[in-house]
Amino acid sequence: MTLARYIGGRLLQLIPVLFLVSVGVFLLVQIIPGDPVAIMLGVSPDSAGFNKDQYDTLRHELGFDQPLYERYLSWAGRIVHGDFGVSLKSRRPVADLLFERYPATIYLTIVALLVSLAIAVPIGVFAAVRQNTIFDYLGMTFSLVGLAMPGFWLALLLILLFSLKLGWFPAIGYAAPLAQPVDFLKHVAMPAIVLGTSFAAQLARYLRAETIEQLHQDYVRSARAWGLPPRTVIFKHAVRNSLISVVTVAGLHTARLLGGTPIVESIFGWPGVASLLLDSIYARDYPTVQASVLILALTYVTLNLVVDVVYHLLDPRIRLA
Amino acid sequence: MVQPLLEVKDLTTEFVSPRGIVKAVDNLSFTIAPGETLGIVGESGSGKSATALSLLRLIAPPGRISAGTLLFEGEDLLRKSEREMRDVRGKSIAMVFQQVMTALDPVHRVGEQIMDVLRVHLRMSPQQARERAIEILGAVRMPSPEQVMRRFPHELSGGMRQRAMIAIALACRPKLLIADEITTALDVTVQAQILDLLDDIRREFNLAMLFISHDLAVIARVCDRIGVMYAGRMVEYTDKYRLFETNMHPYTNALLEAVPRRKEDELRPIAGSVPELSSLPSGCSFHPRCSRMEPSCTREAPQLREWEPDHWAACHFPRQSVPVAQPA
Repeated sequence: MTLARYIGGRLLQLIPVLFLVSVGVFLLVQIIPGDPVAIMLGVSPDSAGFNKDQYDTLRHELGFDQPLYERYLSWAGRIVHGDFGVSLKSRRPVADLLFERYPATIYLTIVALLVSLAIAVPIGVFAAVRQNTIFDYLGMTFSLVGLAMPGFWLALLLILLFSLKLGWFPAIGYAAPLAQPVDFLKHVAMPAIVLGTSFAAQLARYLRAETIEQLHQDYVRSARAWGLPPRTVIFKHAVRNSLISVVTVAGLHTARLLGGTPIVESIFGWPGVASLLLDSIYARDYPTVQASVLILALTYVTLNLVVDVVYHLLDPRIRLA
Repeated sequence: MVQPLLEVKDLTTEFVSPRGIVKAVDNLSFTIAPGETLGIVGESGSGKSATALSLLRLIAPPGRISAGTLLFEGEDLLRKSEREMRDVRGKSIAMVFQQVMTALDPVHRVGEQIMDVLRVHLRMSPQQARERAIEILGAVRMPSPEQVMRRFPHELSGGMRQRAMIAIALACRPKLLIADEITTALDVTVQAQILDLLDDIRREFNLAMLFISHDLAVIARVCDRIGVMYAGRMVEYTDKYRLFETNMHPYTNALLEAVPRRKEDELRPIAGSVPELSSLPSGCSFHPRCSRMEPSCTREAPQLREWEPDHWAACHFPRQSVPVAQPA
């Protein structure tokens, strides 16, 4: 089976997944308490300034008087055509909002991933090679601290130190990476460190354990017996093989990075999908909530596909099936 | 007498375990002349593989070589730095392992693994290394070497993988090849092919070999001299003919008895089992299983002694032509 056919097949499998996600997203919003029409009007049905006619008109306009399945079908139909509806809060097309916000989340996730790799790979490999030495203990202590530290707390500490005391990085805000690369880096640094740290901690532990296991494999012994230099033995044979399972974990955790972004995006005023989602939930802005969750889910499943493909490229024994 | 290629003197390799220090190899001495094949035979756990790994200084912690000298071409390998040792491994002394399924890295192509060795030791260009790798695969009679270069290890059969391992071992034309149970994991027919190959290669490359096996039939087929190991020690050491015809040590005798020869012969397994190295019996380690055991055997460990010219045995009561005085 060729890679192209495999990817094609996997993309087809996305359809039922996305269907189920969309049903879930749609229903979830329907069952949370709170009446969006009333919120939009700013009055509740039992309060004094309530105007029944105005309420019913808006209700009809928004389609809330239709049966559930019809609302789902028309909603899903529009989404298939790229129409995510109009935000109840800002009255703008949701597609436009996503288009603005989505790249910021992706940039942040990528930078966070790079940060965590830059921390985790040296620590993990070095700790494995120097197992049970002071380096190993220091590295693993760091990773334990990184794991235990809540993201929001680290975020506040970083803001205190680097923004308020030292003034190195702006506490909040965003700049486009292509238009203003330097500004982008300044703005992305702290949120990426917060997101990347706990991930780095887990990755370092995983990489260490995996590399230690690989170092005991027969082919690593063979490589030593062939007189290959330690660099080759460690990286080309041990680490290279440990990557196969590390990539799986890294892929799943990258997806979790996406899940971790709402808090970080909110703290640092990062205009991403995750903070959009959070704001929309507060505002009972259903169309935006649905679209945001949907696009995050789509990102998640796409990431899984990428992981599976990379997995294959790393391990020739795995057949694409 | 010819200058030996390898002279091992009093090699001791220990492992630190929770139950104390365990000697996997205990005071082992032997020599290998250029072009000669020494077989080491023994049951599992007798220290054969630890001996092989010790020669290349590949014993990993918690194990270590605690005593002895390993003279290779007159130079003590134990005095070499790790850097110098890397030049010996794969270049002067090469090793082939038993684990045909796992001894090659699964994620790299066979060709690349051969070429890496050539590039590191002989500083070959990729092009030179490729040509030499194809040549050496041909020399180990690998079918269609050029295709095999592009294969991953899991795409080859066990026999082909072992040929590939032998090819890597021979790539830099070593003087000594250590073969650790290399036929054990193979089918009998493939085993015979690999043994034939080794015969040819030995002649072609004038290769000395340390051939480790638990299988006496295989050892007899390949080796010039044979050492018998038991519980980390050499218990008998002589040439192949003496070992099979006038062996002295009761353990050697028992090993030979345990080999099935004709269909109607009953197998005679050795009673008991190999002792734990962490709790060896007192005196001679073999005494609980020995048919010739005397009280003195439980008190004093016999030293390896040359009872007859070029025939060494570590036993208080060796079977031999000349009567021997009891040890004091």
